[in-house]
Amino acid sequence: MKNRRKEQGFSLLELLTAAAIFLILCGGAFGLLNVMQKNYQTQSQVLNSFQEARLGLDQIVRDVNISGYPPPGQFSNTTVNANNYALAPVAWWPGYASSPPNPCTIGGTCGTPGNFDLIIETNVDSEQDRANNIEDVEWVRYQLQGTTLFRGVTLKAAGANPDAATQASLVPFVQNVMNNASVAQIAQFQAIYPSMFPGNAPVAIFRYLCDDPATQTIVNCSLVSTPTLIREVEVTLIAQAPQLNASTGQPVLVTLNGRGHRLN
Amino acid sequence: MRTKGTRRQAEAGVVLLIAIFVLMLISVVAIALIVSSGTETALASNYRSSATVYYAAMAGLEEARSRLQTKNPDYFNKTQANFLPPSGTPLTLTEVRYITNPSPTDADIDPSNAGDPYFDTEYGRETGTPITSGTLDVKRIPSVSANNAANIPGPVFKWVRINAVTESWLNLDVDGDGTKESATALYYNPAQTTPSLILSATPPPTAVQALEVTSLAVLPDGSQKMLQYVVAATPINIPTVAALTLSGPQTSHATFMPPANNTNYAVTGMDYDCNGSALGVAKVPAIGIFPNPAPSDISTYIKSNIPLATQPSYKGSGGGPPDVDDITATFPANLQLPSKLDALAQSIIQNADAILTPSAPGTAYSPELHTVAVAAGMSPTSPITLVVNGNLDITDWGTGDHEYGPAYGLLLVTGTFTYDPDTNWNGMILVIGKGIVNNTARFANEAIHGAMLVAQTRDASGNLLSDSDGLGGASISFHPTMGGTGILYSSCWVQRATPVARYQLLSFREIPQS
Repeated sequence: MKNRRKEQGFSLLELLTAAAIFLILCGGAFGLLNVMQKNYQTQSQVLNSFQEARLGLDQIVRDVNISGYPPPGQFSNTTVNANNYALAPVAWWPGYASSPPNPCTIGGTCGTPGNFDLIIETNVDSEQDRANNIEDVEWVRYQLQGTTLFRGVTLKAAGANPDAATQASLVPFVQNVMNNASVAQIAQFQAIYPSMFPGNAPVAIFRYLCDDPATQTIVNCSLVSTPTLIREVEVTLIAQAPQLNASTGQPVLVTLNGRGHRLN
Repeated sequence: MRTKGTRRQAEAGVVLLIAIFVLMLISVVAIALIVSSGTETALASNYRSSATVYYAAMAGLEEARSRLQTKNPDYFNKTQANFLPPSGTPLTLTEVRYITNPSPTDADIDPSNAGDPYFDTEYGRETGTPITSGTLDVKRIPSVSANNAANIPGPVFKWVRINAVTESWLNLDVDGDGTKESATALYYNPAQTTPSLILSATPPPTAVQALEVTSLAVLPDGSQKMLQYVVAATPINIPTVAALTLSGPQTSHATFMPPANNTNYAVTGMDYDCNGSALGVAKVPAIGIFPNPAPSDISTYIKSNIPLATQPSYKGSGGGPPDVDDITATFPANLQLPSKLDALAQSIIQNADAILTPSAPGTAYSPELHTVAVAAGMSPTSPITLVVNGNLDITDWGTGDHEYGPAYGLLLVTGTFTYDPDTNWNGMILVIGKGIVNNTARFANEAIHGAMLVAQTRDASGNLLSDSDGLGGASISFHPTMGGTGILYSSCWVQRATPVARYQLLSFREIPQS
């Protein structure tokens, strides 16, 4: 009798109880998993946009670092072909095509360089160009249109309008850049990130620091305001993840900073 | 009846089962998270390597740029004799110099060896001559930044190359003639209205050679960057527009009293090379005076003091003999004021290899000068800039108790300079300040090879003269029986002794790496 009792299986009640406990645990675990998964998706999107913006930022900073190459000082005879040297580290409009070029005022008459627009003048020849002994200077333009930062590279044509010449080459470079968001959007972002948009105003992507010939120091460009004197460019990108935060329903943004310093 | 004990026994397996299930679920989620975060880490580390390698290459460029300066304690020629040609002598197109910086895991690095992991293919691509070519003169020197004092590894650049450049190597048509020359080294001329690189077989004396500095940095993960500078020396231009340049006589007359009884003594503006051989070219006036001396001053206070027998030896590019000229027009106008000329002396002091400040009452003697000169590494290939902030008495430099031999470089004395004709000085002697030169020892037969400038910018108590009063009169008065053969102008020594303030950056670029 004792033996038979030992071989007996679980009773129905026991099985139901076990299953119920198991289901409750599983339900809990999956519930947690679901929340985690949503969170993870949000975070990985943040990371993706962060990564994309960071690579973009890196490229801008490196372009600024080598801007103005080759400088006019590399040529004893600069009248021959102005396409072969960089007139200034940054091309500007209007006034660039005048003879002699007439610098505009940064933050004033300049269409470019501006808060969301920059045209770098430099030689970014590929290896193929070098192999073929091609020597020419390019205009590299960064321009924010809506929420997409565009980049374009085109050959410099001395005396041409760099603003018009670079338009056709622009291609999307970094998406969901919210620096110049609408007033309503900025108000929404400020509610979540109170210090992201100081003064509830758009945040400039490009801020310029210039050489001050009088004091031999680097000053804010508002004091000298000539594009030819730009020495450093501070880059700020505010990138938004493409989807809202799954758990809170709020937009997710990150701010990235970089600084390019031209040596030429 | 079941007992409590058997019932518990029967349930035992269920807890285990449930525990294993839950554990498995959690493990799967955890592994998934780890895998995906690994991808993010890789992306972020790529970005980090790209920034690290950029700044490592930059560190290499800066090491080379600073070690080109003679005043740097790690100046190339101080670390390895004859690594670079003597200052003032250009690097030829076949001379290639490397700084190598192997990491502890690298064997020695030789960028000119085709089998080396960091073989320099860029040189061949730029010049068309592979770096392995036997016609090249390649030298290597170790980096100073391998490990710092705390044994922490320095920047991870692999090598830095220093070489001369041509139009074709830089891929720039410097003179705009439509062809890119590959046989003439480029110079940089800061004296032009628009300073620029110049292409000339005979560059003007103000031009300095343009050097290309290329740096390669490679990280253990394989990311690499190559950056390139073109640099040129920024010399402190010392206006040695005559073999002997004297200030005066706006407030007082300049005095020049050569040894009247010594028929060998002469000041000549005929050019000599660095070996002391006469080139037979009248390069500069023998004696030049500024600013604007009256002709009567030149004839009364200078020419009349030169013994008739030696007057024919005072030759140069000006009038005469004796060749004594007003050089107001050729001496830089912006240096003809006491404050400006004194500022030139201050900038020489700032860039000096050694500064000797005599203790009160303020006279330094030959042994002290020799000690600092030796410590600064004075040699024919490494002329130095010596400053004596006070009086200097150089008596018995080459005879008597001492046999110090020839001296090389620039000597600036701000107080009274007591000369001894046993001093064989190669370079320049500037006496700017009180502007007084005299002597105590008389017998010997050496000369100053190069140039000498004596100017009074300060009064006897050391106060700067006012610009409205102008410079005072320089005073040189030697004993009638003093020996020596005088001052023999040498453009070669003047060039070698010209101090370099720094190597300025002419251009910077990143060379794309495949």
